[in-house]
Amino acid sequence: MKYILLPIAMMAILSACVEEERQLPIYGEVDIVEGDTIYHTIRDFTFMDQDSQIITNETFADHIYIADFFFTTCPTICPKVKQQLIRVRDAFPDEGRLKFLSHSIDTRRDSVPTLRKFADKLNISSDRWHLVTGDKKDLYDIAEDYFSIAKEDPNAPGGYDHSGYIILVDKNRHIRAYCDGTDPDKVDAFMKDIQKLIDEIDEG
Amino acid sequence: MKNYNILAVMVSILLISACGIKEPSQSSLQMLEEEVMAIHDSVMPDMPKIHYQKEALVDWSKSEEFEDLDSTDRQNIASAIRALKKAEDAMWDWMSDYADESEEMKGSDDSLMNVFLLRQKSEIIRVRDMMLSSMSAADSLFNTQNQ
Repeated sequence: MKYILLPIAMMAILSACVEEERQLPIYGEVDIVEGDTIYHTIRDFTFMDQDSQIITNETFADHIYIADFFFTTCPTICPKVKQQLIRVRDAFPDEGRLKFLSHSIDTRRDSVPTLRKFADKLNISSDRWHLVTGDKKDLYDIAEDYFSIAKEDPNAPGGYDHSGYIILVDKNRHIRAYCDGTDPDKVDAFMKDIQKLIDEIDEG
Repeated sequence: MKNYNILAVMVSILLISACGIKEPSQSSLQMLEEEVMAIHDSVMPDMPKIHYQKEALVDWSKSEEFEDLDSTDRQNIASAIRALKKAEDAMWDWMSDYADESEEMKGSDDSLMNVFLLRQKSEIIRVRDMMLSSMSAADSLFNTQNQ
């Protein structure tokens, strides 16, 4: 009997390991409240996109999304990140559950018409990809919220608005992956994480 | 005499071409551009810090604690807020101007590009120094506040 149990136990361990690898972690601070684990959740926000649409957390309900920070006159980091994000978008052309949220932190110059012009230049459609502007304090505060990962990861970026980091958020507003969006190899790995999160949705 | 004049002109041309400004090479222009961007990238991550320092100083200036400060301290806080704002605006302005001007410079010859990049380098150094000194002044004020 014990000879039958051994392979079954090994298979159980192996499948647990595979499951472990398949599941993405949840980043950010964790609280335990009355025995329940409370994961860091992206706060409420309201911004306006390139088509003058009001964008809130509800815009991403039942979707996963990639968040980043940029500004249209950025001379170095942002153009590289946008190039990589376009690559990500094109790698998931028909994946309606994946959206993009790019926050401009240049509230003086990146008005709605400027964002629209920028979107047109990069062939970005607001069906899936929102380039948003808003109150400067709200933008900085939401950036702090996304980059709360920095508190636990010494390798996470400082000066987040110019770090080039891109962040994957699940439909429960939890941060599930992030990477240096200027590095094509890291973005390749990030795309695998996106696929894992999509698989997670499929598996319910 | 006429031959001496012709000779003098030829020697002058030779001397001017030997000592004159050399056309900058593509690689030196690229290095110069990278230098400009490295200076920019060295301080750009501090933009959120400037924002939050400014916000904290404004909060301080509206607090009851501020009322108890002497006029010199109050002036120092007010000028630190102005310096942070000026430095932050200077960086945004530099980036915007750089984007516009480098677009206009496309297709320019190497010497013009060299002059443009040297000007940008001195401008971004000025912006960097404004940022560093305004942050340092704010840090000093926060240190006195905590004492």
